[in-house]
Amino acid sequence: MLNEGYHFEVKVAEMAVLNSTGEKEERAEFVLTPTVEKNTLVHEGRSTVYSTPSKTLSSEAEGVTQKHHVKGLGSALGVIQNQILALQDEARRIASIMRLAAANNERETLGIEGTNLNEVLTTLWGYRKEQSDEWGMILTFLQFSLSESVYEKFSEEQCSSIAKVLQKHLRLLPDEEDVIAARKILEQSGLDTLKPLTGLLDSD
Amino acid sequence: MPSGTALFLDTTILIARLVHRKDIRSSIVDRLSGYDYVCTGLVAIKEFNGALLKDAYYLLKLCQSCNTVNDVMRRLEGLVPRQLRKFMRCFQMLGTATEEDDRSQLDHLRCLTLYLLKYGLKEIEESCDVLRQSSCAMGKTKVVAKPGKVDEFDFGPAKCSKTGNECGIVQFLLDNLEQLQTIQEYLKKLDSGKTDELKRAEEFVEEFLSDSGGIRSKEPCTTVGDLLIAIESQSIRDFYTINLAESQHFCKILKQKLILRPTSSSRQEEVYDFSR
Repeated sequence: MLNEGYHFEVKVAEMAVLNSTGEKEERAEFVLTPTVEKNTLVHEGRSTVYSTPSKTLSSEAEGVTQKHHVKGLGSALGVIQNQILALQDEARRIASIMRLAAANNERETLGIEGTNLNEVLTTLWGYRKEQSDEWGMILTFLQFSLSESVYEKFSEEQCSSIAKVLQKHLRLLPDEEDVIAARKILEQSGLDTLKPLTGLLDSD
Repeated sequence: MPSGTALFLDTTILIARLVHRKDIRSSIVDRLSGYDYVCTGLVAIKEFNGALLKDAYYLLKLCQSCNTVNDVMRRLEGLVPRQLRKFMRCFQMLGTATEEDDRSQLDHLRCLTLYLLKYGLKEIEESCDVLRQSSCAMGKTKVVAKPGKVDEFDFGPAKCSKTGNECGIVQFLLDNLEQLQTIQEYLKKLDSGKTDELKRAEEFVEEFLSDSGGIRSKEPCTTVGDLLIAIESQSIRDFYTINLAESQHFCKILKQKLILRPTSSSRQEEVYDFSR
């Protein structure tokens, strides 16, 4: 699935790794490249290159604490995209904690962080008009996987599947493979991505 | 995993695998994982498009034109009783208790219906092969988004008679005259339990065997789908379905093993082995 956008994304990622201590001034040049719709791939690249440890309920949990700044962009669109990126990072951080909590049988932590994750996803859903249909589909699968669920009972596999979907597939510009893979990953762990559709064939 | 085993999925299983309750979906996935080869047929795909995806499209349109979930429900209620089945399906789709506001809930529903329309068939095709012997033109036609239009989809022709030279059903039936004769003999002898679909199949086979010309005007894929799917599946011993009414007869005629997936969670799958 490599395309121009992905090449672009890789370049940004490499630069971010090399200059991980300060503001990334040079990124603004990429951000303004007109061939990149909504500048999303730039942010996408940025969102995936950071994986710094954060102090959380479980000290082993990996989170993403890097703040996203788009210098030189200054548009409302850029602000919104940064907000989405920050929320996605927060969701990934929480899912990572949940995974560790499930592995360590920390049921209370799971309950708290499951609620937190649900809230973050609900906030993200508020940005659906700014995002693609595919992004909305993946977020919908995640939200329904978490809806009406007892987070305290989530297994490590289920938490891992949520973390994986957040990390790999809830990108700013997901494609068809992301959507199908996201549903498959969540379903394979026993989560229900289509809760509103269940019971469809009872009348047949 | 057993070796050399094959399973045919009928339309009800294709649909259930995608959108039934989680426990049913899981049990279907478990069943499929025990086979070396899993397949379906073009006529089953045609029914999948015409049933689930058409319903999803209808619901997508309702999401567009209604402002509240209650508005959608009122529109759905207008379908009763003529399209009770469709109403039930759509009602079930909406049957979720959330605290979301109306717009948010409708947007979630829009995402789910869009998923089915854009990727539902792809998901099916990733999990099974599609036998193409019937050469059903409607089964070969993909549901596609209309370019440049939001939430508009093209389903292709809805009748066999509108498919031009693409339809291969007549030739498919001519290639299976022996099976059709066996089916005709069986259905003639069947005294009780003959459903409307079986009666239509009996009439259709009789008509076809006496004169195959012009049979496409009878719209076989929309009127005798179960018969065609049965013939599509004949080379596969194990036939997987939710529908016992017609399948039990066709499996008996074609000496297949019928695996029935009840829609009740509390019931186990039932196996009727007619292959011996």
